[in-house]
Amino acid sequence: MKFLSQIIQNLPEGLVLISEDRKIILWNKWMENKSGVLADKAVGRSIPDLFPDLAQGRIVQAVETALLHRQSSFLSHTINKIMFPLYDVNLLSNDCFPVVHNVSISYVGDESPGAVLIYVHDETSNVKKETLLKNKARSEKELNAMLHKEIEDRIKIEQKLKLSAAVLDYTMEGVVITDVHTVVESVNPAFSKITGYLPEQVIGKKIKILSSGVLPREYYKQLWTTLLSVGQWHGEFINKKPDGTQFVVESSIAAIADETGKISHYVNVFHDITQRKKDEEQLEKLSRTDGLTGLANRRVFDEAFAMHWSHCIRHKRMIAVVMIDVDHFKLYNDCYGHLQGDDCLKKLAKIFADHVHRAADVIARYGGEEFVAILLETTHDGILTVAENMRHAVINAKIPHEKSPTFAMLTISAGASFVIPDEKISAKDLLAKADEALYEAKRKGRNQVVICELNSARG
Amino acid sequence: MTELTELHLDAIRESINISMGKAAATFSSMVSEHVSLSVPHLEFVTPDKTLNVLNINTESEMHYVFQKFKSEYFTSDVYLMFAREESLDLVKLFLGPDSDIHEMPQLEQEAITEIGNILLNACVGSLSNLLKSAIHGSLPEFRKGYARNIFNAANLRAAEDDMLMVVFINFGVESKAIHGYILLVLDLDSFEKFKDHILKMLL
Repeated sequence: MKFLSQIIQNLPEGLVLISEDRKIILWNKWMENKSGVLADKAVGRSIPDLFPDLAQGRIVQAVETALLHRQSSFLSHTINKIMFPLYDVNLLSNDCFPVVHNVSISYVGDESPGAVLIYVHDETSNVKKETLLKNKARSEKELNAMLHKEIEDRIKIEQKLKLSAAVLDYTMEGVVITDVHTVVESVNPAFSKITGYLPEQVIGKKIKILSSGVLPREYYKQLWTTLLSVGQWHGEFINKKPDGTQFVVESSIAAIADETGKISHYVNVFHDITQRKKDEEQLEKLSRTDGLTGLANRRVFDEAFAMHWSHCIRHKRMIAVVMIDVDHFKLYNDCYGHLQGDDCLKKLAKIFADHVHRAADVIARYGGEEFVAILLETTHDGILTVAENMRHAVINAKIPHEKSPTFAMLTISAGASFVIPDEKISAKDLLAKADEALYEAKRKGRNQVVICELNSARG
Repeated sequence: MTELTELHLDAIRESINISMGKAAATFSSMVSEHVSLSVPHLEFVTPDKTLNVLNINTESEMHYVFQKFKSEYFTSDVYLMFAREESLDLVKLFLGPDSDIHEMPQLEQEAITEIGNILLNACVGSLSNLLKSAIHGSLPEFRKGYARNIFNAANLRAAEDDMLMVVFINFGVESKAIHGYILLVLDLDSFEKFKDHILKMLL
């Protein structure tokens, strides 16, 4: 195989072959060039003979591993400081550069004696590339920052030039320019599209005409303080169209000074965010309500419970939770089907919501056919009244439940617990106690309310 | 069919433990910091149970090193896996806290390849000692993937009833805990041979 040996000699990578007795039996041209050690000198000697520094290094170690256990190793320049002493020489400048390299070591040959192949891969250009990329990434960040500043500066200049009329005509942003007394001097087409006011309806009038009057006076005071001290203001307005419908805009106002430095005009650039606001509200609402019943969901309950709990600790107030479970709901579902089961849960949710209506109280769907209420600043009797009222209301709703072993109508069981909390007990304890009470109500035959006070650890 | 008893598992566990100790020493000298390795947790499971056993989230992005091993008793694909963040943490230990490996993915790839290589060789080397038989190992390959994709039978190149020998180790370096997972995929045939041989060696 004369070709094979030529190929090996001409590879643009380093190849070294080590025999079972640790002697070098092949040292290719690339290795000669980069190490300065000629093949004649290398063959027949061991690696530590040639490079005493490598004796304790990972390369020699990995060669041993390959010989003893037939295992292959990969050595990376990133974590190995001691590799082959390889250099590139620039003949023009006579400079020397280390060759950054990775090394793969594996055992070759199916029958003993085999050999260990050391493959040296030049990573110098890759490392250079990565360093360049890294520097480029950094300089790009700087470039972006510079560009950004330039744009900002330009915008300021443009605002001073009151923007070019063409831009004003085509932009989707509403633009209104007023004099120093906020009397409208000019508006662009987008202004009319967003506000519903034609130019002739607003020019010469105070901009206040747009105001819906919803925002408090304090809000405008703040606006003016900022605008006059900083020269610009950014925020939202709730405005009103000629027909009275309200809309929300996100607006940037800049004060524009004349040659003498005195404010001569205000430029207000804005766009309609009514729909966005609606979407946001809708999203927020969706993420907080239980899809089936429209009650608060478990997440809201957990948040509210944690909040009320710490509030009650601070102010030494009473907090109560009522856990409600629909009696024999599984039988109901089995008998009437899941759709009707869902309907039933909706009806119940409405009944519960009607009975837990104080502002701070919370009623939530806890999961499946379980509901939970938080009652604040109440008493044992107060809790009993609310829970009993709910229980009666459910009976009065006369939802048939023919399979129920308890009663021909749908009923609920409720367990409640209350406490004036302190740091020694946790909110979980109260929930557990209410759960215990609910279990007790079930055990006693369902369709009833059981209340257990949670004794604080102190008492 | 004879089964591996807790005693056999203990023997494998201990053998792996000793080799891992050696790997940890190599490690410590490389990062010049004390590296502690937990006692390996060892289990045999089918591919579909792996995620559960390892308690890995299906959506986790894993960085892993893969090697093939071959002995006269069995062939096996062996994996060492880290969650992405922990892989980066591990590389940082080698490159120093100032290195920005996010900007230099090549560095992470090479460093993890080598780390994986050391640990996998140690783990498989211990089996080789236990079985008193040479195990040929291929060069390591570095890969990335989501846990849900990696841990399915097709990707592990395993059949559904193949057995995975799962070795679970914790790396502790000072305050940082890094979890490494070693998977040894044995096809059913290899598993039987492996088991028989272990039983024979431990008689």
